[in-house]
Amino acid sequence: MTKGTDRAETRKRLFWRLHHWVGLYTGILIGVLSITGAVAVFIPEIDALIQKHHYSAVSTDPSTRVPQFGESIDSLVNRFPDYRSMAITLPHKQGHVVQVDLITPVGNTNVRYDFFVDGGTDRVLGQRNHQNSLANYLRQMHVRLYEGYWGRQLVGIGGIALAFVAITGLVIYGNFMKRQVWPAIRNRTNIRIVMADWHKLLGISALAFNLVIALTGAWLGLQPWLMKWLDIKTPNSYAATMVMEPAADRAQAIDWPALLDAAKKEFPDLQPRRIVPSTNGSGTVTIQGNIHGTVYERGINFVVLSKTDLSPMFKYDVRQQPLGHKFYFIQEALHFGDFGGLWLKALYALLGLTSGFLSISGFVIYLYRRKKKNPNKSDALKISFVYSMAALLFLVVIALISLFAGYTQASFVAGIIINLLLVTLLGYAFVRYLLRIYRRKKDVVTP
Amino acid sequence: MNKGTTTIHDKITEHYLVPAALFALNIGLVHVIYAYATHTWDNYWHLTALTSAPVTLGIALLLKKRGFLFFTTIGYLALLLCWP
Repeated sequence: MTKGTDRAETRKRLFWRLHHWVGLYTGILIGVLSITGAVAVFIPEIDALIQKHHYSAVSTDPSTRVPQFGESIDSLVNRFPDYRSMAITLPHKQGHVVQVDLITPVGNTNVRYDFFVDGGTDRVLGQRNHQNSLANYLRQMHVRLYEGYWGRQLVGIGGIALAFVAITGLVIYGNFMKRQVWPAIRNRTNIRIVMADWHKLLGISALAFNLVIALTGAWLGLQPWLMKWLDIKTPNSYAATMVMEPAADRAQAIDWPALLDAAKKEFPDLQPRRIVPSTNGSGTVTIQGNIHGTVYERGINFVVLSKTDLSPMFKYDVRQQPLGHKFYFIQEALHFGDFGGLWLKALYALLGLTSGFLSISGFVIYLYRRKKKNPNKSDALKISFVYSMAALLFLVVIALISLFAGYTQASFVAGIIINLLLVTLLGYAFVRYLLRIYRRKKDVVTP
Repeated sequence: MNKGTTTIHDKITEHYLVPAALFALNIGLVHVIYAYATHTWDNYWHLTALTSAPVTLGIALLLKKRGFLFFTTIGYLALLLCWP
């Protein structure tokens, strides 16, 4: 063998080892994120069904072209005069309600409520605690594993790991396929070979998708740290000057249909989705929305109007911004696939589940290889089943605690479980590493 | 049959062209669904090109002809970059 071939073989072996160990140690995280992500893409649709069937919150058709909610807002402001912030989400489908997110102090803490308003009759139909809702559970579980301290960063690290195994997988793909052809599956009686073939087949077939999900997920997860370290500011931030007392700002009446008309006049391409009146004394209203056909984070375009005379104060149109802004705001849309309707979400969910399958099949292959070396080891399929069930049990238990006891309690339990697992995993890896060094030294001393 | 030539042909197709076509197909599927859902095509030629891209990539993957795989992959990437 020539020197060049030797070097190429060593490099491929190194990539294989990296693929193997990174996949093994982060597989369970990737698997959980794959399942939660496949569900998370449907959060708006799931939440709409819950609002309709659980809260009987269905909107009648408004007599005017815009939904009516002014009287409901006035009643909520009278009921919660000390509210901290308010956001009104406009319906985008017939029958959907106007949703009012209100954060208000209750005792020593702030509580976030969702109120459902019939856009036809302008009547409050129901309410819920936002933090304990299923929609919030689905989002928080995928975004931060329900762990409040570094859960989001752990998810970001999961994204880096997925990108790493995807790239190393591509590098070693040819070496592992050898004379095999895509998409053939070999000997159907040997589970290890079948799993290995499916692992290669699905891994290469969904590689581009998984790479995009991994890189955008890594950015979104590590965003708070990266923005701090690299001194990156949120591109569309706008700070208005204070012109009145916060209490007067909160109490100021707004002509909502006139406000929407003024927003339309100022920013014709904006499809308004959320209205956020100021509460800090700036006397403004922000109308956030989307521009049809663009692949950017939802609701990042906005126009700020004065509460007093509805005059425009600031406008943010992502199409007119530099490349850096566009790059910043494309990440979430590419990650969640919410820019192309329900069919695109279905494709995202399907392709997103491949990374979950890859983590399970990778683990099964590892266990079979281990059993081949040491036949006394337990059955690979049984172990994989137990691990998968344990991960599912974690998701279900946290969901039940969150829905029936509360977000804080669920977050506390999830924090204990995740940090305990993390310490155990790191401890295990460290002990294995020390044992390996010890054995190597022992082999050198006693050849 | 020249065994060496056959092996090289297989290797290039299976190890390089198929992964590249699959990479393009991932993007192409998302692209075409997005175009249909948002009606963001320039004209019917553009829509035809967008629709036929994943179809031809799929056929190329089934037939696995080296030239067909190469040109459909390059063709779609050109479409994506020049006429998104």
